[in-house]
Amino acid sequence: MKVTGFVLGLLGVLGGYVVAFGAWGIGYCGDLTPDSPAVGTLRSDLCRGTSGDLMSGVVVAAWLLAAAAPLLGAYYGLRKGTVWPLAAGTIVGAAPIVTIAILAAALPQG
Amino acid sequence: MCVSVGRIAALVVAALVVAATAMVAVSVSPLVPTASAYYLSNACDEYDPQRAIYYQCVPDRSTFYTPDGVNPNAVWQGTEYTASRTSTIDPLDTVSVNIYDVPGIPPPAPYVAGRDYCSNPWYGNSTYEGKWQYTCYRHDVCYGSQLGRKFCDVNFWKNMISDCKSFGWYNPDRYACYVDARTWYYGARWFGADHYKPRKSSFEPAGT
Repeated sequence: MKVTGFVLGLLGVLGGYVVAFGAWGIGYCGDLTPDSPAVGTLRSDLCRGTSGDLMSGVVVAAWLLAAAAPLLGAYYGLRKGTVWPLAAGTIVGAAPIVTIAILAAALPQG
Repeated sequence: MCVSVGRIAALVVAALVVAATAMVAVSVSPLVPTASAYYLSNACDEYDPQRAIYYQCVPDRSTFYTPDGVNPNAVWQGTEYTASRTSTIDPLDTVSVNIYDVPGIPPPAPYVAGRDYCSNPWYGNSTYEGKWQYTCYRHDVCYGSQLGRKFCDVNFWKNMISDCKSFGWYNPDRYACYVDARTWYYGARWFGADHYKPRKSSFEPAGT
């Protein structure tokens, strides 16, 4: 269970980075490209200014949760002698970052 | 005086012998990856032993292959998602036309030093983006001018690597810079497609 928890945590780190920096930062917000969101649009609100910084905080928190939750699940699973905490930690940890990936793909670019 | 000069010369020779012996010992050591020896032999490829990443030079030795194996010098303008420019070519060749000037796209804004053209999120910051501002500007101009997305991205890689090479080969920052360039290149390749749009005004790219 230790190894599984570690591997899932590592996947959370890598997958979370791809979603946070790639799908959200570049794919939705247009970072590293000349495509700046027009002022007054939802994309501008979510990517620029104070509200954009707040959303970035949410994205990073989701990324950290995806990395940490499997490790915590493995820790409690080892203490209780069952795999359920690991499974639950992985699912709960992955849910926010998966939601952000879906939002990045589904939200309108305008 | 003659004795001291002779002694200094002997010390210099001894130091050179020790250095050469050490270099040979390191190059034949099984602890040093094979690619490092290849770097020594062609004096162009580079190997980052700390991260086990190999950077292979393209045949003309001007840059490295991209992380996904593309020779940047073999990707021509107009490759991938290019604007239609059939109307720009004069079939009778009566007018001198530059086929890379896409009609209807205004010229880009000039580069302004001190502005941030990379516009990456704070959690995706690179220590080296200060070196890449002009490279980011050129990437933005390339996208806006619709010169071909793949062409723009491989040149983004090429220019970032060129900027990284301002660090000497002995400087660990050189390889850390290469790694960040890999990340940004992959980011642009994998997620930049939706943002490959023609420039709307001559105020772009504006930077921040």
